[in-house]
Amino acid sequence: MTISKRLLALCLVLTLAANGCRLWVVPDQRGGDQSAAEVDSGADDGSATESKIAEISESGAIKAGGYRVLVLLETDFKKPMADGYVQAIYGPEVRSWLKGNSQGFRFFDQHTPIGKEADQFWKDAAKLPHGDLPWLFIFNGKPSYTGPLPQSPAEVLKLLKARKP
Amino acid sequence: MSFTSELGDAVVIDESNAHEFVHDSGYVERDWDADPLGSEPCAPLNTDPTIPRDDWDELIEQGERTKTFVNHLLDREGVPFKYQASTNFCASNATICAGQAAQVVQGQAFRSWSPASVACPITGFVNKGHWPKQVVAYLSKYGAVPSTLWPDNEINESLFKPTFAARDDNRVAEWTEQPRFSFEHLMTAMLKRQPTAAVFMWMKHVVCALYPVKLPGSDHYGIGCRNSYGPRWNRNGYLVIDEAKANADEMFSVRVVTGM
Repeated sequence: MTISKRLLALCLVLTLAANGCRLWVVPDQRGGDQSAAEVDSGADDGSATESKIAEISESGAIKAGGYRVLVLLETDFKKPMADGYVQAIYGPEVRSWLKGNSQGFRFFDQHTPIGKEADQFWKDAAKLPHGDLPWLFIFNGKPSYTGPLPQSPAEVLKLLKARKP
Repeated sequence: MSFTSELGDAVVIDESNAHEFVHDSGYVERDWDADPLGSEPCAPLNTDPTIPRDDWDELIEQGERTKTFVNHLLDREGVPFKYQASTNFCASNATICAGQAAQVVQGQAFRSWSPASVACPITGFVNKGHWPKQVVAYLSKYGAVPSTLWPDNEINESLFKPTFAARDDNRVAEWTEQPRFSFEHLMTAMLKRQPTAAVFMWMKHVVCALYPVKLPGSDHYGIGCRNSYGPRWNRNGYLVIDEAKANADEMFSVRVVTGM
């Protein structure tokens, strides 16, 4: 990221913070692009969110887990999800790409009782803070992206491909 | 919104033809006094609200148009149909079918599990019927053996000990038991993509309920299921049960499949 882009990002954070929104940034492992995701404003304090991410990033299971992807969703919808979400979650494009390119992926309802999941990776991953669902986590030895799930398979794939080691 | 499902080859079972589908495949009715509703620790009774009927058309239309219901996922993944052959193990076949379908929905790699590996320890290695709650409890506690190590319908006690360690990676840890006879709960599970083992006493059978449909020519809805008689049974291995016949006596929906 260039210096001017960094300054722009900083201004954006400060402006939003002044307006009651909180943003947090997860640096990309490759030192390339950075992603910022809005966390539900007022729900908890931004530093707590960052420290939670830092704590979970230290989990041995996450460090050893490699390139994995978790999507948290809410299936108890009050109204139908947008077509793009439904296709990104249950359609073939994202799943088949992940099958060939990741070390594992999961689509969990946010209320899934995950305590008995056998793989510690998913237990730890599901503890990460998130904003409005559906929410996407991309891991690569640590959380390398966390943000709202884009509203189409093509946009999700773009993010996944950009983060693939 | 006026919408009806495209049912393709599937045969709809309703009041007019239900008698043709009564076949005793080994289901033994649950002992409701000893085993009351919601009594299985890994399968608490579902008390969540159901999705209102007024919303069903829109959700079904979307799932069909985008081909994103559980049957679509299983067909795309090439997940094979279970075939119980001459065993009386419909409860194990249907319940394992639900567990395996949930594997795919959650994003796990499909791996086939042997229904006999669960039915045999439940029945004492005898070809006799049982009920889904027993299968749910066993799958949660011990898991199933992969079909590669224990053929799907083999009743063989000598397989038990050598394959026991392989069960741990193939458990369905958490289930939800749905209220008896509640079509609304079964329909809600289908709309949420929660595969469900469902008992229909009129049929004396257990099937794996996978997807919702809106039936043509009426205001009825129905449930699309995989049967356990292979891919060619009833044209394509599936059956659709009209809501008039789809008030299931016992229902378990999958919440968490553990393992790889």
